[in-house]
Amino acid sequence: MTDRPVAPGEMRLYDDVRPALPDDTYLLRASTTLSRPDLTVNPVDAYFAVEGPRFALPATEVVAVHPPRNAQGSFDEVLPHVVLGRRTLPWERQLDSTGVIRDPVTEPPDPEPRPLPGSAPWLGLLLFVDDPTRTEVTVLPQPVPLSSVVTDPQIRIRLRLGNTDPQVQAIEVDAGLLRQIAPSRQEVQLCCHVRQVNVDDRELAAGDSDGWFAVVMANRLPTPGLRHRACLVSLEERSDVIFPTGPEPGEVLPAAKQRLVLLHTWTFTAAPARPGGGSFRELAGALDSGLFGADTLNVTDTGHHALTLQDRSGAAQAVWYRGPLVARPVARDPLGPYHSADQARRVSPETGAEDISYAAAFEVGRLLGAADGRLAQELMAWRREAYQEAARRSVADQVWTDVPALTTPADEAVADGLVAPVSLTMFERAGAGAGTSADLTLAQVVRSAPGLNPERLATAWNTSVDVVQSLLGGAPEEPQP
Amino acid sequence: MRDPWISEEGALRERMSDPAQATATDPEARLPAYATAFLAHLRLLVGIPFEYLVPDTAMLPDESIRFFHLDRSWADRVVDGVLAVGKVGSREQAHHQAAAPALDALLDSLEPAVRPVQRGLAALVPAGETTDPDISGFLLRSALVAGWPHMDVRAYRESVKLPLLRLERLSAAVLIALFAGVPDRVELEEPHHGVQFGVTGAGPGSAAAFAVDPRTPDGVRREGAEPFPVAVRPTDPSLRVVELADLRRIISYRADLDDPALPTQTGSAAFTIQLLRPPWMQVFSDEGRDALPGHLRTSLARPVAALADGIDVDALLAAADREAKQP
Repeated sequence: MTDRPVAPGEMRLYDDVRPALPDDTYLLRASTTLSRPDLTVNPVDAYFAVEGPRFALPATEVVAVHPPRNAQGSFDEVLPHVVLGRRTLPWERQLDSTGVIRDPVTEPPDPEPRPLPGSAPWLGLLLFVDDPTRTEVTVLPQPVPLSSVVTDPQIRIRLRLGNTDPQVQAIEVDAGLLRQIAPSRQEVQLCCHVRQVNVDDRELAAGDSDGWFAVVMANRLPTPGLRHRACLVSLEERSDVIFPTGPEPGEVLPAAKQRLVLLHTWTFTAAPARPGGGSFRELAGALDSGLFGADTLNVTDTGHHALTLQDRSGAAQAVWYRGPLVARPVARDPLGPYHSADQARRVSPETGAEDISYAAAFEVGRLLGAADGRLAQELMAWRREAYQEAARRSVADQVWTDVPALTTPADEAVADGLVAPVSLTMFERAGAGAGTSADLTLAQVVRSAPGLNPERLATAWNTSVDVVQSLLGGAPEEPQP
Repeated sequence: MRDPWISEEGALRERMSDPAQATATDPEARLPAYATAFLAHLRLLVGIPFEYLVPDTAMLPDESIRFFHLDRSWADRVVDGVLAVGKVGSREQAHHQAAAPALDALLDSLEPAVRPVQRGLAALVPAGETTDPDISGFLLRSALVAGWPHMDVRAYRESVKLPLLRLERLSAAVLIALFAGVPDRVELEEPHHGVQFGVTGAGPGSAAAFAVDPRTPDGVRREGAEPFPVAVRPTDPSLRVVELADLRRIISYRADLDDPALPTQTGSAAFTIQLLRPPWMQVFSDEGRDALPGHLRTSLARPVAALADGIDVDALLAAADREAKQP
């Protein structure tokens, strides 16, 4: 889109978003014209079909319904609607692709407003009363063949199904009632639009959250005090349901039953307004707000909750637990890191009982970590890297101590990978008698082992270094290459 | 009995305090990406079982909202617990001890980056500026969560919007929100994709049963303008079927003839604006609670052409027909 992005709190409305290719079967023909007329290339034909939902709608396509499913509240001045996550869905098929449903006839002094652009969508939302006292609609319990839903042969031809007869979910309605409540062709079009909203402040949506939604609205207001059923139905080619206008006064209404393909349905109850009712305003206004854990039975002022656990000897022990959510700010513990859960156990001075909050946190972290194989592998790799790094550094420190002539700082040398070449050079020099730092006889290693260090042993045995030297076999002071 | 030259304890202390063990800032010692992301998510309690957050159901009754501060030490201990996996001896302990300060700083800076990752928008990279060290939030258990998915949540401190660190449904009816900082005002607003359509009862003396308020294209109610009457189909008024086409005609006349500020009735979008009921907003603040009509700002977009741009289907079909007719 070339428009600026939608700001938070803004809603942008579109008449429709039509797909580039409406659902249909297409022929793709590739042909080439050559400059030499004596040569020809046969064109290649390929058929492909663009198919969207037609006789069934996956529940994941429906993002939200309003009024909410099974909700109860003052919905009697609200037009129900359904929000679809796929913005092109209502326009992927057409209500009337061949123009069977005519424009309404208007009297000359009453000019029509501008004609609606484009063709009418194929989705309609119908609202029925579905109360124990009065039922206007029957949802057929089993899928039925499409031929029993669409009985008019002309419509079946326009649907272009060939010999197939898919099983569909359907509703059955009194034809006279349907004539009275079904929207006119224009109204079907007025009931569908697309909105684009900003999704920055939203919770994480399970699927599509690009901010585009198609909305299908009903044309009927709920009756107060009754339960209602809203039905998203397919109106594709249903010229026996959708007419140019609503019924005229005195029109004879048909008496039969009519069926429609059902795509989605939900119920709600429009009750008279009551506190704690069903609209967003009522629910949000009635929310019990407070601080977490404050004024709650079984929870202390500090937010601790008494639990009983079995201690190591198996005896029951009363302990305190507090989760990560607290009513008052808590200072962050600077004594980290902790290496075991026991390190994080505390005793509450007032009660003498143990506080296992942080120990429990430690354990839940350990369990979550142990349950994740990849995490364990990465932790091991992390440590291994660090040990190797430490080993490289210690070699470097030794070399740099022994060779005062090196001017590069040891840290940089480790980072640059200088250590190995420098060490090699030192071995070569030592071999040529140029220096004494290379430990070719391993005497330094031997002497650095604590049990073989004359000074340490002398201190430990409380004797002189000479005695220890002789006891150790009189190791030479300096190794001679 | 002679003293040993070094005690076990002393050796351990020496190892732990030796700064040369590993410098955690070096690239070699950096925690791998998956583990880093795992820990950064845990800092915001992602994946912590619900019983640990709310040990007693009385702390979060039905239809309630509870505000809290996040106990940072608790989340730190969870991270320590994860790093205890495979920690078999003093060598691992020493390594953790040396690496902990740098790791803590890294995780602190990663906290604001977790939400973009959860939304699939960005990779986990440290945020440039350090955020407020305090984290607060709320738990909401209500039919609002299930009935109005994707509601807008905003928090302010002295009119400055606080960054949202986490906003997630823990179950069908429980929502958790975390903010960087401690807000003095929190707003819950009805989601805009669920903005309702509706009518209001017409005042006395009106012939029609219902009415809608005229609105300008930006969704603002047109002050002083007379409401549009909304008729129901006369064949059986008890069915309450709204005459939408008639309503459009009425709006269209007034927009064209009397009041050019109203949206020109071209398609369904311009019509829809007139039927909108503004989203409702619930405000919780230090001064108390308040309910206001929410901010509704609409705009009418140009017809979407981008999707089908560059594909002239009619021309393609015509060409195909011509092709087919050629012998």
